[in-house]
Amino acid sequence: MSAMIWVHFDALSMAHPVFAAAPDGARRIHVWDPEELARRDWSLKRCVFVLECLQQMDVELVPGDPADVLDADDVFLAASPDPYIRGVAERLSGHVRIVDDEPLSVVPDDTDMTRFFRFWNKTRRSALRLDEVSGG
Amino acid sequence: MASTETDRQGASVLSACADRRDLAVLARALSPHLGADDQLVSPTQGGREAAMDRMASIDPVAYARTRNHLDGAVTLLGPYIRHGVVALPDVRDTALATVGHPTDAEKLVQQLAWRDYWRRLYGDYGMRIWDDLEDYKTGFGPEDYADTLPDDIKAGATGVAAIDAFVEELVTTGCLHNHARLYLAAYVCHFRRVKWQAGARFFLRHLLDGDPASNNLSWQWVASTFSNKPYYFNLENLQRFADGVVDTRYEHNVVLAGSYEDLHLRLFPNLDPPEPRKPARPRRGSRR
Ligand SMILES: Cc1cc2nc3c(=O)[nH]c(=O)nc-3n(C[C@H](O)[C@H](O)[C@H](O)COP(=O)(O)OP(=O)(O)OC[C@H]3O[C@@H](n4cnc5c(N)ncnc54)[C@H](O)[C@@H]3O)c2cc1C
Repeated sequence: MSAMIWVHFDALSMAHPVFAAAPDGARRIHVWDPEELARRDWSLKRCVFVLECLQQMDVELVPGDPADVLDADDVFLAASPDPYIRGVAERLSGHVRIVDDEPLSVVPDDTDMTRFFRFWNKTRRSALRLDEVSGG
Repeated sequence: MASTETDRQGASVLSACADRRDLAVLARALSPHLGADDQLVSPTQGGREAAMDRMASIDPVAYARTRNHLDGAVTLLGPYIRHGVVALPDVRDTALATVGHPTDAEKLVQQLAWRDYWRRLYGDYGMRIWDDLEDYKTGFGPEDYADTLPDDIKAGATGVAAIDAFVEELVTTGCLHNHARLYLAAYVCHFRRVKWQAGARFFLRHLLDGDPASNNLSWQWVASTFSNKPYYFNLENLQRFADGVVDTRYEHNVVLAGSYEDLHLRLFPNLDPPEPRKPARPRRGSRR
């Protein structure tokens, strides 16, 4: 069984739980997808910033289309709302394991998401950890 | 899976870069879309170490007091948060650890929650965040707005000193204070009547923290396609928050001058005149 971790540009930290979720020895790969970057039209400074982040991580940098590069039985990746990342995950031939990070707050199911302050009123206490304050 | 020769090169290519110049060369080799005229590297350094330095100087109390000022005590963590170098709960916990009671860090945590909120909406909307989520509330329809960003804005050569300074900072550093983003976005959408999408694309090209979730939805908030009314500002507001940082003199920013009532009539002539503002009310710029 082969395993890979897709270290995509939404989760450039070795502290992300995706690393603990994958088996020892899983290859950690950041795929540099020139077509996607061209579509996003990232400037040089954005590209350099990301490369600097990668430089401080223990990952391989592989250019290409992630759907081709991430060729393993199991592919682990950090959860992301980005449609590109989600789209690649759907195209992978291996078994995809999406790993969530700790959320900032607990969002009740009945939260009205149409305006920020409705969201904030429902999530404020958990975001501020108010119920965890001793004696509080 | 056995590593191929190419993969091993991939592993070592980053460590072979001794400095930022090497990284820029590597970025070019990997990314054919980068034009020869795109030569700027930001003074902001990527990586966990730089992020941790910034985490160490978070001051939530000063943040709450000064964050709307262009020289206020903001965290400058945007690019690190955007790329997940640090996670929102870590920033929150670092902030909480510096204060006596969690509510002393409320303003900063609330701003972190804006990001969380936009990201959750992005998960629901996907590529539809490029569409107007609601109608404009400006008295205009989408057809009244230009499709592309005028060259003078892109070049920072509008002749409006503060606006040109913001563009210059965005393009050279990839960083821009939240209030400057609001001013620039309002200028593009309302003073120049350009579609928010054109401005959003320009921001995403340059901002180190450029993220379609926070960016597009903030642009829509300014434009009024995801808010109840358009966000706009006047020179007096700019002077209050940007004095000493950019040139806010009247004679160099004439187009921005006027009362909110005057500007409302000028920018949104199809709408009913606004209710007069009471002088003592908090300024618009301090709302987000
Ligand atoms: C037109 C426009 C475009 C924007 N585009 C982006 C973008 O592409 N990416 C991005 O991360 N933010 C964006 N923002 C939000 C905000 O301007 C930046 O997050 C903030 O300026 C980053 O600087 P900082 O780290 O010093 O922020 P601080 O004020 O120190 O805040 C700390 C963190 O909280 C989050 N945050 C703060 N304010 C907001 C906000 N209003 N919305 C969402 N998150 C917030 C960010 O992650 C930020 O790093 C945009 C705002 C506007 C008005």
